[in-house]
Amino acid sequence: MLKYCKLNGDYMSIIELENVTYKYNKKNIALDNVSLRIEKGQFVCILGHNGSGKSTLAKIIVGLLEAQSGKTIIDGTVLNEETIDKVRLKLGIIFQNPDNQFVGVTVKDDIAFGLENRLIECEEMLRRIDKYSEMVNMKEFLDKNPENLSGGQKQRVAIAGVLACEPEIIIFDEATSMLDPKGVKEVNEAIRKLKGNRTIIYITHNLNEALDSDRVIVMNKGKIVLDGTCEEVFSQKEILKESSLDILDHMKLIEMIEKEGLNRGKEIENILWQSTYLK
Amino acid sequence: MNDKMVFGQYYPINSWVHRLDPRAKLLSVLILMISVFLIDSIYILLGFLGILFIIVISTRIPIGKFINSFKMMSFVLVLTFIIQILFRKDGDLLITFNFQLTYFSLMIIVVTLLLWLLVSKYIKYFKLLIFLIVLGGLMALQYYTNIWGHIVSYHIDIYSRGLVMGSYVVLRLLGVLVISSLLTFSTKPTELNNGLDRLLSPLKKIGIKISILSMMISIALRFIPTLSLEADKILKAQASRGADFKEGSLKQRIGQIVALIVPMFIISYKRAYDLADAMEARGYIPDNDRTSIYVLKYRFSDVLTLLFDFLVLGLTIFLKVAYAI
Ligand SMILES: Nc1ncnc2c1ncn2[C@@H]1O[C@H](COP(=O)(O)OP(=O)(O)OP(=O)(O)O)[C@@H](O)[C@H]1O
Ligand SMILES: [Mg+2]
Repeated sequence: MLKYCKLNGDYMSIIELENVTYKYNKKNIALDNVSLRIEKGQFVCILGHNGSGKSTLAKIIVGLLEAQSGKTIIDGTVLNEETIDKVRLKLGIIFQNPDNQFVGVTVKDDIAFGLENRLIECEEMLRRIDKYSEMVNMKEFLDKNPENLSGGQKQRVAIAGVLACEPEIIIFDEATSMLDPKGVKEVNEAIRKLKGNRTIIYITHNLNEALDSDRVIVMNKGKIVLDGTCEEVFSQKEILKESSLDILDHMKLIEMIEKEGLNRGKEIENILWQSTYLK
Repeated sequence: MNDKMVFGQYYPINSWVHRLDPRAKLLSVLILMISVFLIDSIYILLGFLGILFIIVISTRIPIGKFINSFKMMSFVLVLTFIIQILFRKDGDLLITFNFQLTYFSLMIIVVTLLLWLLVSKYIKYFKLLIFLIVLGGLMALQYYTNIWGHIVSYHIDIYSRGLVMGSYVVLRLLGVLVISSLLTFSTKPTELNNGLDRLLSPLKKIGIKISILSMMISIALRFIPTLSLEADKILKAQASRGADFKEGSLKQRIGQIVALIVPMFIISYKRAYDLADAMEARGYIPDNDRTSIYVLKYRFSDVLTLLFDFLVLGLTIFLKVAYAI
């Protein structure tokens, strides 16, 4: 198993999990003794098939779930009942279902929701709404109701709502999985703009979406099974297969050509078509 | 259909009433309603309705919208009027109607009512009016005929007080209807909610947290259209599998409604669960103070409106006292 980097104690990571275990019920261990450190400003991708514990991990980090054992430390503060309200100001999360996280009656209301909770004055609110709706290309929709928006547009509103609160850490929990290809593209464009400025955790089960991240973490059955750079992780074909993750399209191609030369032209063509369509 | 659910009765124009602060509008409605119930002279009530009429005209909201809301209430209006006339027994006796119920008229009454039950489904317009005419006809039958086996005779006395009180109640209800319609036509539900929230926020001091209630209302406003779209989808899915919500025995229909409610309940529960997570993650803490993106400010026109309301209230109280002496 690869380790991303061993750190000595004097360097502080923005997210630290120490031996975190979480069970929804007795039989079902969603997170099994997970330890993890994430550095400030990184773009980290978490991969895993359905039920591998990705969402549970995300909810532990933002304090929506409390681990049965282990410690969560965000920016030097241990998460617990007393600190959670304060620490939460540093965190933002975008969930999978675009409908179930749209709180406001209009786009503007929705972006304002987090700001209102943070007791930000009206003028500053309007300034930020202006800025971040522009950033996700939703400025002309500010007075629209969610029923009149597409899934991709709703997700971009959710992103603007989180960005407006200017958190240091943003988590995307399969934020694009319910969208059509156009929606995926729009949302991913908005996310790419953030790269480098914020600590970002991008959760997905699509390997292709992980390609340009600084670090890739693979989860299986509540455990971290791979952790490293793209190249390091994607070369571990066996473990990826064990985790029920399909290897990358171009890896498949290379593998196939290595084995059998260019004899299976039709299949190669198919894979190429698929991968260009996905992008 | 969708706009109706988002905006309720809201009529999107830009009149002076639309521009008023929702708090001022809510207060006005309260004060004017109190006035309506304090007035106890028909002439003053008519004058009051006249003023309301002028206000309605000045907003340029089509009169038809108001008439529509009268139509919805017309049954209640007619019923209260009839009850007042039948049961008030003071004042001068104006007229006595003597009725004879015979086997002949009883038979006709029963047949007519049965016919009405069958036919009324197909009457689209003036249903109530037609019903009243039919009813009048049946009463006239008992008034003028006395053939074929007399069963019982009875009489209805109409007293002046009953007539007056009946008109009062109807005119008052009309006033209340106009005032409340004016509010809902000119104010979006969200504005109304904001206004109510701000207006009642001082209740926090005595431990009533209105902000949670108004958050609940605003979430409801947000999700009513979404859920009704969902219900629509489920209905269509079930209709495509042969379910029919309009036909079938009572038992079948109940079964079909359950088949709608159960998935709706599960979906809403899942939504509520997700939404609670999303709200909490975005820093919502139910009891805490929040700022609002909608700043409400009383302007000159609001002050003027409120002054006018108090003037009306003062005048009605003055007239009431003066008349009493
Ligand atoms: N609310 C819940 N109650 C009980 N068990 C749950 C709950 N949520 C998740 N689980 C279980 O916990 C395990 C991990 O779930 P989790 O949602 O973290 O997976 P995931 O990696 O996010 O999957 P997906 O890709 O489907 O989103 C699964 O076995 C799931 O069945
Ligand atoms: Mg998940």
